[in-house]
Amino acid sequence: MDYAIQLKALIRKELRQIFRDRELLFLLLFMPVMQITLYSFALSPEVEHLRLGVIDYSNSTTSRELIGNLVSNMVFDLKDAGANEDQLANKVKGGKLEAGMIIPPELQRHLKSGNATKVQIFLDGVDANTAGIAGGYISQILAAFNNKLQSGSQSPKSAVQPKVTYLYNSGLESRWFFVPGVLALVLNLVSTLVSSAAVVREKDTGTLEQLLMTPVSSFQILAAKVIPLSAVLMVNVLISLFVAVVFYGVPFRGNFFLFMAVSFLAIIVGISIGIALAAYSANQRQSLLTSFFINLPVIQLSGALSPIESMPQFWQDLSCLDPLRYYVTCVKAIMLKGVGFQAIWPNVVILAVFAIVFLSLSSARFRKQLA
Amino acid sequence: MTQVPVVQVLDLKKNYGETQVLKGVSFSIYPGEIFGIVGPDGAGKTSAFHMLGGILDATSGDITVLGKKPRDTRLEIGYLTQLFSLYLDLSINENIEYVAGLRQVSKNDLKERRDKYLKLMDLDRFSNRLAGQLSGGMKQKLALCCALIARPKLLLLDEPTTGVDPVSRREFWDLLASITQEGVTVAVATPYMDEAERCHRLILLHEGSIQDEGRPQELKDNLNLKRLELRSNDLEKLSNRLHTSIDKAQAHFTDIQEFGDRLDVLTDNLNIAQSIIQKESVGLDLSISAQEPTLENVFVSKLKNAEVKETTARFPFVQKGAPSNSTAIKAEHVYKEFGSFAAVKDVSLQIDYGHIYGLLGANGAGKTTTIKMLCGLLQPSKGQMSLGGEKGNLRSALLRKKLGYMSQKFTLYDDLTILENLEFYCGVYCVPQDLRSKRLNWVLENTGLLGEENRLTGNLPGGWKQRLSFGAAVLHQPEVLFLDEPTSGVDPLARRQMWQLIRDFARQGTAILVTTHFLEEAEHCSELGFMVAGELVAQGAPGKIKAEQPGSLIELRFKDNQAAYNMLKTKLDSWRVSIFADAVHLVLDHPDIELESIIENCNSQGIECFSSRRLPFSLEDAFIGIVKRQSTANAEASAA
Amino acid sequence: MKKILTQCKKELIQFRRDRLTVALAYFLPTLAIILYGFATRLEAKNIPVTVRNYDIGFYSREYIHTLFNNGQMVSVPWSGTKDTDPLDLGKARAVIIIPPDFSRDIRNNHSASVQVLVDATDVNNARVIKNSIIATSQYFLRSGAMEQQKNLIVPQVRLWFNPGRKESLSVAPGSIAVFLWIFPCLLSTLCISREKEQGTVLQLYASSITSFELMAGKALAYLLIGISQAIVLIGSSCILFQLSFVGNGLVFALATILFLASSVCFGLLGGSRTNSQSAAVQLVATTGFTTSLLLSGFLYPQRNILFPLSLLSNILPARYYVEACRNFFVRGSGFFDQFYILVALGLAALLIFNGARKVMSKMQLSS
Repeated sequence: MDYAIQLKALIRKELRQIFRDRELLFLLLFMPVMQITLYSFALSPEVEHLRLGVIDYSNSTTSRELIGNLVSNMVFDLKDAGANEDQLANKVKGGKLEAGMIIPPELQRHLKSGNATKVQIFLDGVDANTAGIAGGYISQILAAFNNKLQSGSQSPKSAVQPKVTYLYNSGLESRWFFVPGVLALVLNLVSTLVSSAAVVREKDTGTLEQLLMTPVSSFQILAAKVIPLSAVLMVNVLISLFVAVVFYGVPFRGNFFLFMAVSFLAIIVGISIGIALAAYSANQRQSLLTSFFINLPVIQLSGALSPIESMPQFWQDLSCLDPLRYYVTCVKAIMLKGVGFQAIWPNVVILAVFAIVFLSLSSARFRKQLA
Repeated sequence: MTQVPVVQVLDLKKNYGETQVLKGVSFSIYPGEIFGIVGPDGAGKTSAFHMLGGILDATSGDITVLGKKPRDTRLEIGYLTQLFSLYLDLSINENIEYVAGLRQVSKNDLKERRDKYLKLMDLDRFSNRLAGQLSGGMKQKLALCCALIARPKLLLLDEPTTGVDPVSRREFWDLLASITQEGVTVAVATPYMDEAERCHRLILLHEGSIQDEGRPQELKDNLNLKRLELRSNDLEKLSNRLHTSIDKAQAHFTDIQEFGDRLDVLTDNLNIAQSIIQKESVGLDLSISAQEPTLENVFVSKLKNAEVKETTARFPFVQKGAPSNSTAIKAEHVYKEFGSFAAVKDVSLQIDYGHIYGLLGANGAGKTTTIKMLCGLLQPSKGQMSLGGEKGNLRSALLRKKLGYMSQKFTLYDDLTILENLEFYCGVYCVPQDLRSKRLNWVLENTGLLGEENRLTGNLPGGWKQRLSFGAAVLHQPEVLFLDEPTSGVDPLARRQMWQLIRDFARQGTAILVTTHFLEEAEHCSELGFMVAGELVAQGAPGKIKAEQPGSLIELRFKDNQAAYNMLKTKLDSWRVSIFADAVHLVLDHPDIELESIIENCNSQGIECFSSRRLPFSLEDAFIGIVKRQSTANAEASAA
Repeated sequence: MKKILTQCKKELIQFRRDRLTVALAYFLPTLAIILYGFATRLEAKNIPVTVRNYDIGFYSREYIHTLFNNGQMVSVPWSGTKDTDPLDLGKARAVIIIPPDFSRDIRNNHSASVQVLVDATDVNNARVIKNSIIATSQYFLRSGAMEQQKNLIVPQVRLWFNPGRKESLSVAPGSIAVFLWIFPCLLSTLCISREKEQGTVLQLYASSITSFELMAGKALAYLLIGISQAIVLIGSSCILFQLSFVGNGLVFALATILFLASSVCFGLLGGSRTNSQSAAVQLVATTGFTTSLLLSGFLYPQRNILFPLSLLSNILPARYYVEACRNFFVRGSGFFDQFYILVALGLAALLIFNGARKVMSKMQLSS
């Protein structure tokens, strides 16, 4: 009976503090909206509208057709190439063009005689990713063009015709990739920050000491921190989801309750990290600075922003220790793929293990500090 | 006075939003004087200093410093705030050099003045030590040195001795006296009445307006009251009888104040009062001694005239069975070590139910560590303890239900309202539903916050918060109560009320442990313990501690007090001599033998002595004597 | 001038004394750049792909062999019942289904069709997979046994600056810019908010030091610290990622100093606007970190940023310094090509400094 009264008093106090803290509410409500907006507008890996300059010495129908093929699918835009090779080269070197092509005068003559013509292509390699994709496009377009030249005016015929179907995201919206990742990332960030603030604040102001002198147990103190925070953070998940689906048109194809259950696990992980941070640092400044050390790798290795399978092996192995990785996988699978528990259960189980282990470790540390 | 004032303040007002902090204050400060602004937290002292220093704009009114606006004379003003004037991660030299650079002191001047002041303040040996590693007293001396390095004409000191131990405080004030001799004018804010005694002139500031102004002696004389110290074997009975006689109008008691082992009665007619007291004390042991009123008496009387009647509601106590054992707290040879640092050494004490034990000492003397061990928050490294009859597990929930604790920092949640805070503590202590509203009301009534219970606690001034935390700590009527500096920042009136409540709890059988900086306040305790560097150096009732001091305290008045002070310092241990506004105090072990030769000595050097009289020891004098004798003894022991 | 130097000297001494801050200043950026330089890979490699081969002929085996030849995709064994199972379970990013009559069709000179299911949750990956499969199919046509064709147009692609397309070469210089933005401003924001939080700022108000002198002194000290951070960061990334200096050193040095100055001043601005250290850190970290990370063009090309935000990106100093870094470490541009970078960075430093100075210009408590 006493136990319940005490717990009720503690929880009510926490809730009142949360709702009175404007900074915190701002963080909870505004962070998801701002971050999702920023990421989805700012990060775009599309390789489109690359600036291409062409010096066409041949100036023939074939060369014009080749150029037409290159610019036809929006990958390249034709820009002023300058008067000669040197000027073109300078433009690419100076970063004014991403690609340059020089078509030699003998193109038409060689075509007639059946000899191969060498077309020079410069690519700006500073952005390795873009350059790689652009190079791929060029060879693909040239190959198709070659086919067409070979088969003359007849319809081109290839031996293998791949019919590619894009699943889950047929319109190739890059937002759909970033938004679920950012949703997971923001939840992790907010839950860590909020919970460490809730614990450290009590330490900073000295009220923790006062609390320790009351007859409540350390388990009650901890429970009173975790329960209201996780409830509030669940609301935060709903807000993020609303922003993602309504504002940014990301589909939600899976089971809502599964999503919330998985998010709950992620929240517990986040809260545990926050409590551990607070328990190990002496004041708010320290906990803020240490959170930098932790959040940087957690976010970077989670696969929220760049795919894990492209990382070098060592970092891939390291990312297995990153709880956020599993949550990101689950969010993407549930939202975009619409799969059920049977498809993601290994991730859920690992996340649950993380949640249990982290919570018991951090609460042990927290309670030890109280004793 | 015909002199041109250094500072002239006319009808100064300051508002922060709706709140009026200063409500039209006027005063002047003249060259070479120590001018005191005395008042509790929130009286407007700090705002006044900010405006004098030119770092805050006044809402209205005029300030002239050295004939100009304060902002334009900043280079001639030295400014020292409460403990915050230093960079703790810089060394003594680096701090001084930094300030000198900012205030455009030339290299030669810097060197000369630094050497001079560091020597004067006895800091020259530590010039490469980090400021953060200095004791509170040394920090403040260093801050003073920094403020003096630019040779200011006016020195503004905002509560310079907060958190500084009595010994260093006295040294600090001796320094101030010598500085004014060099022509520096000093304005100082302080909440301590004993420090106010050492100012040349004072204003009493309360809630933004000046309540009284004058020299300390004038203020006391103008009160036209006498103070009677009554000691008896049953103070409670005596106090009750006197209180009932107050109601009979002819009593001539303006005030009765209860302390740990005495009653103070203020009266306007000594003879009548004495005879009434004699009548009322039939059947009791009684000793009466007539004394001068204190500045605190002045303050309280003024405030009582100015405002409020004191209302102290009684706590709705619930009768509890008497504890089986009479001892509430007991510690035997307790030690606490942090790494190689011994914070508490061999402390033994015992507190019975119904008693108030005061633990005194400077910051860092080990008071807080001791209190934390006694209430079970810290495990002692060595030694035996018992608490509420419990020996082994001091952390059980059952035991904690019987304890009340008010820690040094604010113990309330700033972001909850007053009512929410109180409800929270009712909840965690499981105060029965039927008692709750009565007790909540009691707290609100005593803090004067009835009707404001939905205000955010964070917006309250410090003193109010402190009273509220006290209320929250006793909601469950604890059997043992720990109070760590409960009255810091509380004004004298509220402080009296709080002590009255504390005594009420003691009478109901609660054992109470209090720590405080205020030695004047320690008089309220039935027993005291002095801590120095982790050790309990003296224990006993306040009267007993004072009585046990060897020798006597003698007040001498000279024509040139400063010269006499300088001279006497060379003849006697320096702690035995201290300078006040218009007198020099000496502690002599054998006054009958020594005094005469000392006065002769002075006269022969042309320093004329007008008068000498014996004064009773204050607790502060006793404390300084104990500490100094102890350290002299230690030094001798180690030399041998 | 003497006051500025006094202030600067004091800041340097204080910085040196605080171990946590010193650790933060040098260790954290190095850790961060290791993490970003090694673990951030935008380019898709080793994409797990599974093949469901219903054909038993020679050509399908040959086709599969060709698919995995260039290392962009790696084969994972088939499992599950439905075609989409490996994608649903996240075991593979693409499923290639080869029909039973594949080899026969090719032998008969018919077109053989192959069905490809691509997991398009990661758009970038999806495109790469598609391109790769189409290119392979075309290549298979030509290198395949059926008919030897001659290419009439041979592209000679020259990748300038980064011939091996080492991704660290494009990520590392960008990360240097991002971290030289974040960490110096974090330090400077702490130095001013600490004075406010601990109340020492009152001493400054009470002395006659002006806002300009105060800010200049602090900025100078933290600029010096920032330069030392830059040396550590650039040095360690040169060793870790084998960067070499190919550009104009003078421009880069100037750009670095101007950029650090604007970073430090941004920190001072944030610190003087807030009243506590934690609020200052949060303000600077969230605004500085997210904007410089997302809008500087360090991950994906800056011109991809959509309209309203693209304007914002143009006023970010980090955006210009990312270019300066790439110019110096990869591109090797000359002085006059990047003069505008110096102008932009110089302007930014001046404006931000002036902003910070203005906030403190009263050198008084606010009512």
